[in-house]
Amino acid sequence: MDFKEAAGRRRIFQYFLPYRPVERQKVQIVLEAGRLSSRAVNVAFSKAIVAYRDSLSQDERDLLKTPLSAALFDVAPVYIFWYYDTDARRRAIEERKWPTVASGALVDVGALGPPHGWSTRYVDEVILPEVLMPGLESGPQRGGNADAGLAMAAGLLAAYDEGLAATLAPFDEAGAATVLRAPPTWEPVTAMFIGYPAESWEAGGMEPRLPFEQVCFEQTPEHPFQRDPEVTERLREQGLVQREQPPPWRGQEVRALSRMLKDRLG
Amino acid sequence: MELKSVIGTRRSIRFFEPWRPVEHEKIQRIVEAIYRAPRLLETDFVRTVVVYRDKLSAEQLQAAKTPTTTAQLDMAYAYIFFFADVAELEKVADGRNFRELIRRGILNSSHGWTEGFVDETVVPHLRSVLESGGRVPVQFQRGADGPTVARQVLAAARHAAGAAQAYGLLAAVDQGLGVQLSAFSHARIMTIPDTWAPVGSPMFLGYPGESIEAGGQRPREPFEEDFFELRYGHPFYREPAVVKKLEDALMIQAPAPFGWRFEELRGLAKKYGLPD
Amino acid sequence: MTVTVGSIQTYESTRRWLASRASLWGSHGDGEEIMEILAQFCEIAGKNPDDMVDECLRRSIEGGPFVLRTRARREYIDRIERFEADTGSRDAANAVRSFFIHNGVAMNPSILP
Repeated sequence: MDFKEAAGRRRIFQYFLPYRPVERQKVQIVLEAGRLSSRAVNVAFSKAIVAYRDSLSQDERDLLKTPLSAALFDVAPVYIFWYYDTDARRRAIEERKWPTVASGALVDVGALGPPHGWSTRYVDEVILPEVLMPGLESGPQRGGNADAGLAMAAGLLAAYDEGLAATLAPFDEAGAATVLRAPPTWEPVTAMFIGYPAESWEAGGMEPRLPFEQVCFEQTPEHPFQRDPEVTERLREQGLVQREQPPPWRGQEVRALSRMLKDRLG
Repeated sequence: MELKSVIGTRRSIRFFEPWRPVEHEKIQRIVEAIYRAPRLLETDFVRTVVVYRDKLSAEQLQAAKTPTTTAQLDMAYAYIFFFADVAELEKVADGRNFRELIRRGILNSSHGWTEGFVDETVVPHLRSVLESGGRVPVQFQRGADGPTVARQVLAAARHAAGAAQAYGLLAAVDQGLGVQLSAFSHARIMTIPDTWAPVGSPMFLGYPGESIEAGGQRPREPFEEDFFELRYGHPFYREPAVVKKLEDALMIQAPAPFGWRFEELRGLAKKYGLPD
Repeated sequence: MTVTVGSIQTYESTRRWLASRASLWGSHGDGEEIMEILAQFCEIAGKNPDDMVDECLRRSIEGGPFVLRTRARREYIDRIERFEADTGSRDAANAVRSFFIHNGVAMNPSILP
């Protein structure tokens, strides 16, 4: 599937086919996409745990629920819990086990080099003590960086590319520590609920947004991005921009799906 | 481009053709993709500012340079900055976005979503979560004198910014552009509102000066270090057949370094007048 | 002070430069030429190679981490730019920049138009 179509197809899906399993190979593809995402200093800040509705007991599912995600745990067959590892930087520096900036790997493979001012000694004597190590003494700090979001978004697109629907919603951190045994240094990002959609691909339409010009700017925050409507129209033809309103038959579809999934939704 | 090939082709490009402008249409396409990135908590708080190198003064450009961003700053045609308007994000706690999604039939009573559920359950839940973990400055360089934000809000903002960045990076690759995230402060080139927090590194953008393979896909730790099944400590088994399928789809590509990478780097140094 | 092409290889920073460069690029037979340029720059700066690096990258306390000294680095960046203007050679200036970079002192010139 074209990138633009995969990006445009995403919705806040709520109705999955609870009886149709997701092929495990497709779940692997979602993770593989996340693994290839951009990451600061090549450190693996992003982590994920995959769980399946049918492999968890009702009590375990209940522990993972938040008010924003409760029903999704009942209808989606696969959950991916995305985390940000607050201890990843320390481990990368102290263990130097895997290829990161701290291990010198990016200079060694020619990703960073003297043309940009990088050398092995620069990594060892400047980047490590002055950039990567400060703050480690206070222990893992919450507050994230963008890397887990980068990985999660790539995985999300890969799910759509595989013909799956995927939706993001928060999960209960304490419950996840019990059920999934996630380490205490892992900061929750979001749960990704995956399955084959029970609803149409249009679902309720692309979710409403603040106007483009209120959130996208050029040169300074005072100048809204000068948007060419013809470009937007071409993106509509290519699938990135899709219907922003619910289709006229949305109410009937929701009623029908509610009947269909009544037993699952309680 | 096919999504898998876009994901596989993306890597940090550090050499751009400094003399070649990027068409405004392509930049709009990138920003349109960013605009449609998935949100956390269903609220629009990510702000993007596209800065064009040639519209900066020589002083601004010079002041923005750090020991190792100098060459990229000079070569990239544009930089896209990501911010979070934390005031917008803190509004999520009043439940307005969820009411709008109910009104549109996106969230429905079959899943328990009603106005009463939002008021009585969702709003108190969000308030308690967002206010846990203390507060931190919105803009760290302003320290304790500036406005503050709940640490949880800032974490959510950074994670959401990552999603926006992912869409931006992939949209750029989809259009044959080179792109990279690299630390670079906005402070010397623009003033931002008090409620905007810088989140995530800016994106450097331009036509690639190096081959798009840039020496090969960057090395990673083993898959099993990052992904688990059912519980932490039980690695997700990586099926070789899936890896093969992704190699065929150009998502998994030949790893760095290619045998000729160092000759390429040396050639690039000469091309742009950089040291080796 | 005078640093000759003959003596310049005795400095640790020169040996580090040549070794680091060779490990990345292999041997291209330009060692003599770039050492001559470095010796010329040392003559102008009135410093030996080790002292120039030490000014820019030095331990703040014995056994402690190295600290990149912003002002000294800036001064050398400016000196190299003047050296480039005087010699009329980007290649010559880049040889000196390469010496600093492989010794841990990052710097970039402007991109050639």
